[in-house]
Amino acid sequence: MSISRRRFLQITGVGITGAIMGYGTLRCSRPMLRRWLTEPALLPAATGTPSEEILRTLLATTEALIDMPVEMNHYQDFFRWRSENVPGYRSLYEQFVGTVDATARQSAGRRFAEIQKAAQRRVLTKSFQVGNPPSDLGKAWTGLFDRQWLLYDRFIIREIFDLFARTDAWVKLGYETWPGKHRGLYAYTQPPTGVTGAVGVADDSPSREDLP
Amino acid sequence: MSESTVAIVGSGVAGSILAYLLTDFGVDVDVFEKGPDYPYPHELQCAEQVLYLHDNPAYRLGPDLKGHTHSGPYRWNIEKERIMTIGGSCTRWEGLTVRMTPRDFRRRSLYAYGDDWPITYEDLEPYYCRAEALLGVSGTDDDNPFAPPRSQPYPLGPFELSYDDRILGERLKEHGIVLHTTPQARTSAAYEDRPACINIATCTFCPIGARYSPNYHLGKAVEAGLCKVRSNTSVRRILTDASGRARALIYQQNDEKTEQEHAAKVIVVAGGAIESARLLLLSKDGRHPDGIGNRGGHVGRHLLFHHVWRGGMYYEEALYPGRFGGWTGQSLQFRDPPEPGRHAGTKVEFASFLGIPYGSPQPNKYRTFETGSDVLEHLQRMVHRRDIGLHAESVPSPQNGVTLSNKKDRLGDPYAHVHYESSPLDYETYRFARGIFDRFAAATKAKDTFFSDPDGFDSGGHHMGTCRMGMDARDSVVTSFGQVHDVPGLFVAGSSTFVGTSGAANPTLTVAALAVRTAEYLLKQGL
Repeated sequence: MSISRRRFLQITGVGITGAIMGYGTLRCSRPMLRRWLTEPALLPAATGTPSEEILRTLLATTEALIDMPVEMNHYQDFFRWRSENVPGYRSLYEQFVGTVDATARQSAGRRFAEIQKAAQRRVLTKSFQVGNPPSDLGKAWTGLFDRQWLLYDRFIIREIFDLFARTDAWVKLGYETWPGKHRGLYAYTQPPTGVTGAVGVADDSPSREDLP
Repeated sequence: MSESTVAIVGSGVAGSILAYLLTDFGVDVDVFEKGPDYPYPHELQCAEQVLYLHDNPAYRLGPDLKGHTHSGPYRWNIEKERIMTIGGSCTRWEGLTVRMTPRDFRRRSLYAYGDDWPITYEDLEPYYCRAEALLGVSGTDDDNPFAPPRSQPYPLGPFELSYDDRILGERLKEHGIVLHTTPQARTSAAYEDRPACINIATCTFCPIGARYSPNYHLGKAVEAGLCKVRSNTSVRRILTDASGRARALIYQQNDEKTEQEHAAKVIVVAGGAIESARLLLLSKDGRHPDGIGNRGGHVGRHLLFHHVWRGGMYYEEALYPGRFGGWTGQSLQFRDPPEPGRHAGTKVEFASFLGIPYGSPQPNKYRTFETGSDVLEHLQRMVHRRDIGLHAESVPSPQNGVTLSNKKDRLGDPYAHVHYESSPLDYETYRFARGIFDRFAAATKAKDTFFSDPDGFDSGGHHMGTCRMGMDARDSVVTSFGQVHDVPGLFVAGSSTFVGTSGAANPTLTVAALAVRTAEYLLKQGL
């Protein structure tokens, strides 16, 4: 089959234009696509008081993740506040409970909050996988096919670690308490109470006479 | 059309102090604020940010109302450095209130860089005292031989150095370096009707009003019955009459379709350095084809940032940083360069954090953790760390400035376009700052360190100099009282009036002192 020179130029022109436009679109949309795949947004949904079952499951999740004795009241307060004040959280919490309960029932025949901590951590392993995929391909896969777990990771699991890092972790490291609680105005001039082997400091602050 | 004797655009520290002082003398004032209301004391906001890790969008303007475009190598997000709410940037600050020094006002004469201010430290000193009284500043100069002279004591006694500051301060002292307490707008004892600090949280979000917030004085102005605060209201243009006098402003509520006019005898533009310049540039008319106050072409030019290069030092022993809401120690020893012309000066701030930025949640930071032990292992290293900021002055590059962007906001007005790049002198200042950092690290026996690269600085949220003060319109925009040259009835207040350089001092106290001076001028002139 032969084509005319004019037809050939037409087809070539359309092809080149299409390729340029396709490349341009891909280039421009790549950051947006990447963001869509790796940073899913929480869909706005009604706020509301979380059920006891939701709170029980979230606290069990916290205990399984932190894996050391911590004060649980403020985690409960945190989950309740988010559910009641930030659109989308109550719904996400409900979905999370549904997901982990279903997985727990499949593997252990009971609800997530009722199974052993080791078994709970196995259920939550999925979050660690989707939260930190080793390659771009893995990120793309997660963003497309494990999107729900990506939301759990972003808006539940990481927030639990974030809250722990800003609260109980301080106490575990030797501090009396954490920001947000009354810490005593001048306690900060001495090492935390109960800390042994702290470096000694002289009581006198440098004065004008001491200065070079 | 509404009217008031004075209309103030912007409710930050300059606007709020002006509103308070003017209403105190019986002048009626309307304050226009583009951003939303930010209730005071900031108890709810503190709970949201610190306890619930929630950065509430109710206190932020959307990108269709608050935005800019930028060029140049500045890496940080300028938008995040601008707080537009009732109270402005000082609703979320750490409260450091450092005076500029007498030499800061004469940089060109003494050090051959920057420009001299049209006023001296001695001119401003009484107003520094009044600003400190307004803000309730706690401090002492007894341990600071580098503090500028003062005619009045600090209103409140100092906050002592923290445990970690004291350890490092002793080591620095052995090497001839002074780490001293810092003045701050935070109450070390009950002051007026503000309670004493009880060290609850981070100073950035003070829930009880111990750390100063402009909302305090704005509230008093409203209580006096002479001040109306209009939140969520954008001022779009300033109008002049046939004689060239400013007579009114055009404003629009952010969620309404039509603009309105507000007449005032005096108009004070008291936004940030970027937004104030933008409003003057937007206010074009036949008499002011390049924007009001721009006859000499200086509106938007001479943009200055502080250059804050940040680093960290790790120590053998645990220092337990972060047990105080903000900063307790700094060094003003290096504010003046040792010789003229080579580089600028820097202030040294010892920040005391536990490696976790305060405020907004950072869940990404914890994505790789799988147990609480992982988090503790990460933070354990931070217990041995001190953060340090080399807070340097800069000089404005000729290319730096604010112009109008092609991008427009919801109301159809062009955003500001910001261009910022470092000057050769700034790179020399980096080398000076880096040398100081190394001295600090060696003197304090740091085991490991890290430090920013030359272009890795942030401005600390300190934007200055786009409507600088001077003797006449050929080289400046306003007089030392903030009056726009050739435009009677129009004033500019805030860091936009700073003259390059601004010294290494945090700008808020100087902004407050200049606002007091402008208020006094207005009252003396009978407005």
